[in-house]
Amino acid sequence: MKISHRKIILFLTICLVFLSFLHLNNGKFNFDFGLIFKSIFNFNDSIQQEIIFREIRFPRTIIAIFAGAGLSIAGLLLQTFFNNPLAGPSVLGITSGSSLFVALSVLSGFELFSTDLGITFSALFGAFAFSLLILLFSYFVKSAVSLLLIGMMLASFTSAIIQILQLTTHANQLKVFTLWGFGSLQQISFNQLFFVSIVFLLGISLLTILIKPLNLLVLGEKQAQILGINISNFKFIIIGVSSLFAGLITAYCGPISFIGLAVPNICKQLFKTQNHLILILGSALIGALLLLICDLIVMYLEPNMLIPLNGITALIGSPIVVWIILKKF
Amino acid sequence: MKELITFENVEIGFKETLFSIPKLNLERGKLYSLIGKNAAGKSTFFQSLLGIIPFKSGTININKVEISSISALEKAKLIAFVASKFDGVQHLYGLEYVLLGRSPYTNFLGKTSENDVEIVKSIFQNLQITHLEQKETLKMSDGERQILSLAKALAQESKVILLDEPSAFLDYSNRIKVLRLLKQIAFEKDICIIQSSHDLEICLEYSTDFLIINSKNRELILTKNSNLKKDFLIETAF
Repeated sequence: MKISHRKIILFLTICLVFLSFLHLNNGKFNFDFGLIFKSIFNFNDSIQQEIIFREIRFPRTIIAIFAGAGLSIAGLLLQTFFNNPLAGPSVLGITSGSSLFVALSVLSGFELFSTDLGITFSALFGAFAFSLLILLFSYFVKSAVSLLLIGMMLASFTSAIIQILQLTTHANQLKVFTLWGFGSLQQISFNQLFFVSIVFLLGISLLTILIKPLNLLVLGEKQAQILGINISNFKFIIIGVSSLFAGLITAYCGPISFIGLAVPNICKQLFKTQNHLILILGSALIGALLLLICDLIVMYLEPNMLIPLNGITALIGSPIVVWIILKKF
Repeated sequence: MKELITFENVEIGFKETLFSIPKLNLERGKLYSLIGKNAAGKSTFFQSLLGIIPFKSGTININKVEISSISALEKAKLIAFVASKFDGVQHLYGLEYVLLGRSPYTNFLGKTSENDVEIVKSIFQNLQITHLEQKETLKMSDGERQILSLAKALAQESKVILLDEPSAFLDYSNRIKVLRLLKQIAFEKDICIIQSSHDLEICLEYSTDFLIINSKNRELILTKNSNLKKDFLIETAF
């Protein structure tokens, strides 16, 4: 790792730690570290402030970090795999897959499907299914733009189905699903964090075996194979890990757009490398930072107006996408 | 033993046979030029050797080992491949690109050792392209990228190097440079190099042996340079 890369990573880490505490402290600068640590490690459920920290603020900060990092890594994997700087979990329709299956399970009215576990598995299943679908399409279309258009068609198709489903359901289920669809970091509880962390760490640990194949995939599938990588094995791990991140986060935060697409591009411009060890670290850090910033904006605006998280990510993300298109296409 | 690759009753092709190789031995230390019409099966031949697509029938042995029984990793240490064009990648620099050629020898994280860097640096020096080490591959000329791709193939330290029309996108002086290099490398490293080409004149000047895909009976034949005329090449191949 070059020294300049180390410096940038160190700087981003310091920013992340600072912003995490700011986010944890509801966006206020008067930190009370004693309260923060006590509410996590030595929790007393009779103190109201500690309950607020443990049940509301702490999960929100942690999921913001996970979601930003996970979506960005998923985007990076997809961009390298499809050799397309505009690929990402939302553009390729993978989060739409999650949305469709979450809609099916929530709106179906079965109790079992509407539980946390039910929603998680539907979201993961939808992400995997739609990733495989996109992988299948990628064999038939050669142009990078065509694949993106297919992804967008998948998204419109699923949103049409979801709208039809919504017409036929009860008000309560509709409310649950609509709120989920706005994208929010406030739905998750402290107890759920444990499960999310385990799945997230599973994805992170799988990334270690992907660094070398990803570095070679930059030269194309054929070159990777010629340089000794059995690409058909890694293909499914790459698709699997990116769906895992996208599905998991979509399940708990709703479909968050633009992060997965924009962050890997910012990261490549910042680090100017194709070494995926650095790109994965960098994307995770920048993604977490960006989502924390977006959610801080939501927080600061909360007293006056309730803006959905997706609104903020789109406001920041879409100009970045236009910038990428101007630069690369 | 000079024999490196042996073919026996091989039929090259995926769905239909493109051409056949009844019996053929390819040796170390030689530069072979593969001559044939467009769509005669030159690229398919290379891809069959690399194991990217299967061939129809017969046996191909490298170092006396049947080619289909060699794993992708072991094959990467035996055969290197240079495509006719490398378009360059943003933020991928010359040295990093050639270091990727060391992948068959690195651990699962792809971390290169000091030894790897040393090998690659000496290749840059031998090819006299040290000025490309810190240049972004996207910003290089076609000629620079082609030499760099050859450097990457050399970094693999393989016994065989296959080049699919390496000079197709190069100007005259670069074509001569590449072919002269190939001939020198084949001799000095005692490896087998096969390059496909449509440049009969330059091939006749630098190549020692010709593999011709006979357009009439669709057989691959080996012919020595010393008794070769351009007319014969044209008549047989085209």
